[in-house]
Amino acid sequence: MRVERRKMINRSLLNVQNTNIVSPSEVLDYIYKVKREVVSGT
Amino acid sequence: MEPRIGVYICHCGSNIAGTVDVKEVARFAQGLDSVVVARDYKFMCSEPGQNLIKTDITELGLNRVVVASCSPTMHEPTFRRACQEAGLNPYLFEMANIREHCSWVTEDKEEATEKAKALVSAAVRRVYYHQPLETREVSVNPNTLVVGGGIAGIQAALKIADSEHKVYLVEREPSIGGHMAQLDKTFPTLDCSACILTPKMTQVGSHPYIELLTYSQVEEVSGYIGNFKVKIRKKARYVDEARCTGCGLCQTKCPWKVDSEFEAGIGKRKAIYIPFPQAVPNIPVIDREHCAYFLKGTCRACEKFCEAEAIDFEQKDKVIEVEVGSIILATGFNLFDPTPIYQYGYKRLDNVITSLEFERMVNSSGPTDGNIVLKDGSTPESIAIIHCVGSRDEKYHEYCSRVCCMYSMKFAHLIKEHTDAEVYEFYIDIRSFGKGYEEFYNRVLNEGTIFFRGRPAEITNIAETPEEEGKLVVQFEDTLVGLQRRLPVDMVILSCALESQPDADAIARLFNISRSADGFFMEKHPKLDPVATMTDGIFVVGCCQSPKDIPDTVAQASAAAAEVLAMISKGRVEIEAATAVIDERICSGCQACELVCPFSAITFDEEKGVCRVNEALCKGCGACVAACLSDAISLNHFTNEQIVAQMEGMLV
Repeated sequence: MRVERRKMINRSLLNVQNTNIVSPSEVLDYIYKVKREVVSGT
Repeated sequence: MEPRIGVYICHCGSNIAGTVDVKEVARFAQGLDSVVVARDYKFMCSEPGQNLIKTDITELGLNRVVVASCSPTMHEPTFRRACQEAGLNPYLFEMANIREHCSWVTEDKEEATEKAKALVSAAVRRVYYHQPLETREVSVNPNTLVVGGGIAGIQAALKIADSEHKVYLVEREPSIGGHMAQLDKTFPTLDCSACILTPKMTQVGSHPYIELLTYSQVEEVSGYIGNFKVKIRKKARYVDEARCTGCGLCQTKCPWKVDSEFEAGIGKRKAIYIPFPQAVPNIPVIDREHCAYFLKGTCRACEKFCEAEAIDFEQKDKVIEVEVGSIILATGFNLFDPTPIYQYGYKRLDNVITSLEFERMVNSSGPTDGNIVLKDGSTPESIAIIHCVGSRDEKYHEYCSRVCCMYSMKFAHLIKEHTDAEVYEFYIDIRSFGKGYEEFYNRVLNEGTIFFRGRPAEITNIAETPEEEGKLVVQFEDTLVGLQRRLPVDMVILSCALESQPDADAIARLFNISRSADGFFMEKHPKLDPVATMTDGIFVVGCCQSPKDIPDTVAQASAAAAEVLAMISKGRVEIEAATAVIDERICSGCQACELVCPFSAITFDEEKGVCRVNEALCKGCGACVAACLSDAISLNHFTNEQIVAQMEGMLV
């Protein structure tokens, strides 16, 4: 699970570079969004 | 010591509890690692709410606190203070925003509750790694620099100086007074502008605690809150201020005439001039660009007639350095130049003038002695006033300039007072929002001013009917009746927008402050901190922050003065503890961090070949941490460990 989490974080952070995200809270929001996508399989 | 974490979930009335199942979130938090207690409460920011935290810190031995409520911008200081009062280091606190980031933006209750749990879990994971940090204090220099000598700068300078603290008032023009000195009457009370302004100007000129530096500009600013060092260039006037008696004989004898900036170009001044009769200081200045001596090496008429022998063609610019604790920027606005709006014919058609030109024309001390006249010297029989020229226009400025409606109506009143002319106002919406403004609107209506709702499409001198011959024709759509119309008039006044100064960008860079999209200086918080900036110790007041009327400008200037006096009175300021730290053993001295630092907080130590952080200037933005190629910089309170833990917490 820890490896999976780290993958999610890395994937999020890589994508963050290509978005307009500027604040830490937006990063958290983005990670949560990725998590939901992974959980729901979309 | 093993972390003992307390978690508090705020209902925020129904703001959070209406969408998030707060009890469920508290139950979830109770099960997280190291959480000793988890509670929910109606308003955590209230005194009983804060007491809940304090009691638990004391009785349950909590050494970490998480509050899940609103934005940290609102209440982080509140809860940090509560922790501190209970004996806990304030940096051992973390806030999760489950209102703006969750309940307000999520409709589904279940989804909102799940996200709130994730946010709380992230905060708990993060706070586990928090370290106690100590804030530092620096002393505050009691001197203040005010930049700009318009009504905003004058008001702020006087308020501070009256409390017997030194103020340096810097104005780039030869006299203080700003735009207000150019106005005739002020709405809605119709006070004579000069009558209410000049006593304040005189007060500034003779105040023992104000050092007036006119015809001067700030060149360099260094330092930080409480301890700024400022270099000011005092431009050469070519007139010895100590000798000049202000008799004005030099400007009478000067044979060279040029357009007067003070008269908005509709009047003339000499090459040696005092901008206006009530100028402070009442000392002339030689305009190098138009003086025959500087251009051709001849003339020197002013020197010949000056009995006080005050003319000094050899005078040089002086650079002086002052030390101040705080800076107030009151650099004012620039009036929009309507020339690019070709269809309105400004500078192309006679008798199409700007609002400032009309202000000077109607002013009894102006170039026409207060007579409203056409270019041929005759009195107009009809005048059109067009609102929102350059404002509320996607091509120029999208914002409303806030004062145009009111000064346009003031013009209508003054025209009726001075002439028998018909006055037509062309408006999009009438915005008469201030005290006594709506009553003034009704007064102008009752005086017989005719209002048309619609922005004119064109002003032309091409006549289509005999009655349009020799007139300016305003072509417009009367949107209230849905008709295209043509209205012949003698004069058109363009009520131009207020825009940021042309050099606002350079000023912003000089003082290290931000500008908003409209070009005006940006305040720290539009509602809760409207005069402070993101650079501590630097305040913005008046129209350099946004267009505003005189009462609002004066109120804002007084507010900034109060902020400055509070700092001076305390004598010291707290410096944020969450700052960047450079490990000098790892730093390669590449200076990449210095380049990206928006607060100029990093300097390069030539001797040791490493970079250093000035903690007083550092805002903890983290830009340097990301830029550091050697991984030598870390940020207190935002360590990698803390951030990764927070992100992992989000995925629980």
